[in-house]
Amino acid sequence: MLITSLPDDVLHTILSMHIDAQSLLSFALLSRRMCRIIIPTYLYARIRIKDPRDLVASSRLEAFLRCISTADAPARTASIRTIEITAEYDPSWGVIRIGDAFEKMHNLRRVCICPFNRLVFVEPRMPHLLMSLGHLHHLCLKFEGKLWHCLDLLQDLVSLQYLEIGRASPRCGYIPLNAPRGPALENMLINSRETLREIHVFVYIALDFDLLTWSYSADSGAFVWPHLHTLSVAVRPSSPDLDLARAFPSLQQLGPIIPLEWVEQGRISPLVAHLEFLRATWDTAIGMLAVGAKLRRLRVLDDPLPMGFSDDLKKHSAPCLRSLHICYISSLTRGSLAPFAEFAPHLTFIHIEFFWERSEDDFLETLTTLVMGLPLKYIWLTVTHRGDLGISSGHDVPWMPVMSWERIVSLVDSLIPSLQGVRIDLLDDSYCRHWRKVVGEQGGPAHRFIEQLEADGLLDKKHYEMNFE
Amino acid sequence: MVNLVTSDNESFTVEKAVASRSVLIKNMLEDVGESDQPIPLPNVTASVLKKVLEYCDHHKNEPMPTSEDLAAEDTRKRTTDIGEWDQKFIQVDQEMLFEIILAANYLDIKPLLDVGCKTVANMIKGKTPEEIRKLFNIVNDFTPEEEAQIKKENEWAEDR
Repeated sequence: MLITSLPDDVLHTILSMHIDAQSLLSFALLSRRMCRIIIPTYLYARIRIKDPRDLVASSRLEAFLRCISTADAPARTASIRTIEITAEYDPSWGVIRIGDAFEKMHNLRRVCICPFNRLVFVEPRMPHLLMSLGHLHHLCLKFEGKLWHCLDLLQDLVSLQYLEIGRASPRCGYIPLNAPRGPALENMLINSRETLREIHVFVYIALDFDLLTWSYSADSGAFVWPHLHTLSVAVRPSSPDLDLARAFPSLQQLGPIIPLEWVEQGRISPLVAHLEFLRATWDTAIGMLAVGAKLRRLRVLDDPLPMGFSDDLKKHSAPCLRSLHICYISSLTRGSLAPFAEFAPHLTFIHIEFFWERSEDDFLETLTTLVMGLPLKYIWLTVTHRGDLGISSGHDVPWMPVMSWERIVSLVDSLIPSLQGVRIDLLDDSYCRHWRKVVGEQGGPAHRFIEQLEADGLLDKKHYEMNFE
Repeated sequence: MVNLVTSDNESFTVEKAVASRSVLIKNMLEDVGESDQPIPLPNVTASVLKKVLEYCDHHKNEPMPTSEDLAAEDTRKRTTDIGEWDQKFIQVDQEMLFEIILAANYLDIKPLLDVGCKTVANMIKGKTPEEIRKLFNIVNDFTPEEEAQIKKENEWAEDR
């Protein structure tokens, strides 16, 4: 039997798998039948003009626009559901203008453009074209420089399920948001309130907390995004005013709004009924757990952790938590350490960044207290000197002693019988054992979360390997 | 126990839990009720059914995918990761691989169909058209001019 003789429905199942564009094109060139099935429907379903070698990305964009201008273009453009462009566009190429191409892609569901502000500079119609896409539910825009004039025009978008606003590169610095027509990002977040599932905001901006909680009522406790499962925000814990996660109030803030007995009775606020993946400050995470959030993955951004961290571990619990990433400074809590097992007894993955220890013995003692009793499958320890990060901690930081991964591995192996994978990054040494990308699978939906990000191309290979392999 | 009869007239007696991994067989069993009647499988040979039942037996205690799971999968691209046991299971020659895929499709065993299709997808990934033709023993029915034209039209997709 030949692959080309498989029935159409089986071929469609094969093609529904995540296959890159070049491999799809190779597969299409097997035969005329394959070509007819693959090119209009699958090759053009997802356009990804994104190349780590920036030099060729623009020429690929030019080639794509040339292709869109051919006679077969209507069928192809109608097939496009996803488009990701990380490339410079030049209106002088002499091919179809990118705005005209977007006008034809009326079935677009997902759009990711980086850097969006540069594209708008040469094609001012872009915000209006995005506004006109009736099926758009996934929007990722990355910026260099100021963004308000682009977002201002997009604030009437509704029905977004995924919104990502970020910087085009880490070098871009903070982006001020001074929209003349009002708070554009807040309005985007509010207008898609009923549909948003994921929010990723990687710009350090102040958001209007009162505006975001505009819809709450004391009876329902329904605040902002009732279906949100992922909230990932860049915050500077030292500047709480810049924390989008404040839209989910802390326990103290909830006081006047949610009846205290809700908290005492452990009732789940509709506010956090679906929230499972959180990247925010420790205080925010604790506030959400206090009102019943069933967090599965938590990436804590505080650096350092607040002084009350160890007390919180004793007072609160996260029984659904499977994956935790935390930056830990043991000097803050020395003498009052609480084991993570009391806080999150079902953790299967943990990444702890230790910034310094007085000695290897101190470090091992701290580690023992923290991870003992956890049913971990994967553990990732990063031990580095705080000074390496160029951060002034305000503490008297001794020079980090030389540590060896052999003792650490031996310790975690003896402490955690369930351990399958170990990764240890020391200042000048590292160790990896059975560190597989399936680490992201731990925790049920987390598996799908990671996979889907990968399938969407939101985690590029390098990032994915760095974090999950 | 359930009695299954293949296209080459071989009988297999298996646990109901194993046979019911196939939605087709499960529905047939529900339709006929308690019966000793053998279930004919005219599209599956004995050698293929043996492999399929090996898969079903290994996964018999896993929850069946719900209609919600299936609907969610339909709306997105799926990764091609395959579990460790499944990877070993599916290490068969190409003829058997396609037969397993066809049997899984006919018997409506979605997880097995996925394993087979992911395996094929992984075989395709990163290969040139020539390499794929060689791998699957396909004769090129394009003229060189036609092939060059298709490549030129879709050069944005090529990793240059």
